[in-house]
Amino acid sequence: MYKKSILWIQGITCNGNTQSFLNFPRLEIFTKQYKFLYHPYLESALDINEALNYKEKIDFLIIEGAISKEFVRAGENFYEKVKLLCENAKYILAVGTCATYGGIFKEKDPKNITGVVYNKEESNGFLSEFKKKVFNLPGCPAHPEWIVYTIETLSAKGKLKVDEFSRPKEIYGYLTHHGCTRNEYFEWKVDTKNFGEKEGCLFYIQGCRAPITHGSCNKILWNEVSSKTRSGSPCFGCTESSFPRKNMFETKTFMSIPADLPTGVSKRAYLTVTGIAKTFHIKRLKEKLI
Amino acid sequence: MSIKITKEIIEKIEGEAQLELVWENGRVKDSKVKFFSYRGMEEIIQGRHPLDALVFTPRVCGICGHAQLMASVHALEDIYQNCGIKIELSQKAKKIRDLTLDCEIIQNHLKWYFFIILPILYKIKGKVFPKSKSFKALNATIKANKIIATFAGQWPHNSYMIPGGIVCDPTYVEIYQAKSYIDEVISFFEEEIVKSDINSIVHIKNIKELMKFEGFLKETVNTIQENDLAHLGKAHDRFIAFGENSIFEKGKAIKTVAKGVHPRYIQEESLDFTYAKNVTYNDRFYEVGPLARAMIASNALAKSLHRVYKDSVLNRIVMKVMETAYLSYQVRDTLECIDINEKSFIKPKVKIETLEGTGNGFAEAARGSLYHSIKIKEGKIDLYNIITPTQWNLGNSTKSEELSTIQQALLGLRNENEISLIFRSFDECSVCTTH
Repeated sequence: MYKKSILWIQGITCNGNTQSFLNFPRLEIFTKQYKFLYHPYLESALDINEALNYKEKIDFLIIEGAISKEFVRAGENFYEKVKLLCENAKYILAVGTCATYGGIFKEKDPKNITGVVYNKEESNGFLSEFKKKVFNLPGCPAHPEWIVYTIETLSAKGKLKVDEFSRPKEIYGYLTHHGCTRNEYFEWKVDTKNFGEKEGCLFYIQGCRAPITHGSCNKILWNEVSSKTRSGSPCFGCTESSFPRKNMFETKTFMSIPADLPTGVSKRAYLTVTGIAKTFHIKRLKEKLI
Repeated sequence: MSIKITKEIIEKIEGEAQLELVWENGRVKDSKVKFFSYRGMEEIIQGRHPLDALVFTPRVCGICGHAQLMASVHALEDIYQNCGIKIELSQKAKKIRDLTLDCEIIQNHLKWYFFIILPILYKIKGKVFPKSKSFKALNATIKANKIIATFAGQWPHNSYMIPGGIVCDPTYVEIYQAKSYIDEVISFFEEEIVKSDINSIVHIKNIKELMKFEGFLKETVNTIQENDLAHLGKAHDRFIAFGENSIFEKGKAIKTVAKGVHPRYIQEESLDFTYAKNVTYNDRFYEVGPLARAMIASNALAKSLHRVYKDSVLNRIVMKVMETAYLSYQVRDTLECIDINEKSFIKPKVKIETLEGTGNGFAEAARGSLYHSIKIKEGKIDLYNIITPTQWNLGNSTKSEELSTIQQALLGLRNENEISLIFRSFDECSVCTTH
């Protein structure tokens, strides 16, 4: 039986998506259903130089890491090689925030490092000519279920619904905020007094970006157990083009109102609801849970 | 006399490196390791808010990001201390930090052993290592990572350690979940690696006792001995460690153990043909990693192996596998003595951006000592420097009288099997090295 092929190649990266993918609980079965031409960690049909110079058709080309025209991978110019791979690929998955928008490693040399299609939010990344067949899976790193879902859906249906950044809607239609265990504190505008506490919302002081960040982190959870916000860490907004931001552990405010409001919520709506919510001093929400 | 030079790309080391070998009469006479790329993390962090380092530095490396976080938070806390402001850290925060980093080391070692070392040893025996075993090991690493995520939110890439503690506030529900995950990791180790109870394994004092236990570890020792590899891969027999997380102690071992080490003797040197910088302590190359840690801790098994095999590949591999057992045991033990009523986070008296000064932070990462140093000026990071374990082990000597650790270890090797085993016994990391 024909197995669809996957070639996973890395630009400027930390390997985080590769390692994240190894957390996929059904990986052994998955590797039997697809043919890995190359994976940066798992046993593959090709070696790295053969992979970079591969001339045949590829079903899924996975690009991890940012793109620069000068970057050298295993002694070869990465950009020149990956361009040819893109031409031969049926689908391209830009996996992780670096591959999607440039991400953290773009910061080294912003003019000369981009994502595959995007350059921050502009669609003039160095490989944007392939835009039509690129699906973006931002996240620092991307969740393994997101990667497998995208491959499986494209394999079975040949298409999936995407947003304006070509991110699959079934993943990025959600906000990280959805499913956070601190939601009730957000509703009633009760901030957490300090790090290291179960109670309170991290949106007002600690810099949490969950209401402004697209992703299903709190729906499917990380490593099947938790998430940043559930554990008490602010969401840093890593699936968005603005990542990495400045001063990530504090909320930027104007006259004590968060400068960035929840996605799609007008300032008037936010202020009205906040004003009302704050007039009620709900004792239970000010107390310790346990 | 015939001299030839070969160049080989070594891949799947979290990136690649090129190993250039000079051969004389069929033996390795000299070697060079070249890394192709450089990402500039230290420059990327410059000019940012000091706490933002906790978001950036884990992204140095997908497999040891948690150790980067630990080194980074230690460096920030050191700045407080150097400015005369005491950082209070609860025992709870300290224990949870240690145990999540232990888990990162455990998953790293299991991946290295089942995806790299065992397949090489099977190849030497003319066999193919069963993939199903590698995936079984991977399943154990997933459990170890779940423990990290239970406290830190996710793995890879979280930022849950901050100056003054940790951001999570677990209940005993999470503690017991974590305990069942570590029990699964331990079960895997017991079933596959030693076919015995881990409690009897962690107290093994010599190779004779070790060889009483069936499983992959015994098989590993046998394969190495039967193929005349046991005495290969010796470096300078000099070990160093700077981190004091979990079971680890700082110090150096050259014949005898000395506990005093100071960062002022650490030196970095740039080279023109590779993006990796050399690193030396008092002008000498050292080995870092599990064998180094065991020697510095005067571990009985490591010392007993050392009497016969010195710092050979046999000792290096055995101690790395054994460290997985020590740490799994330690994680289980730590989980049992966490008092959740203690504070997770004790807010430092002033904000870090109000301070000016420098700080050093260390952590023992999977592959050895990791060192971060930070200078804060006018509320921003003015300088950030990172020295990673692979830099210690994989230097390129510029002086003929002092080879680097890897150069010394490769000297005299005869064939590809020997080279790949000895090279990979150091568990190199390309992305860390070219941060």
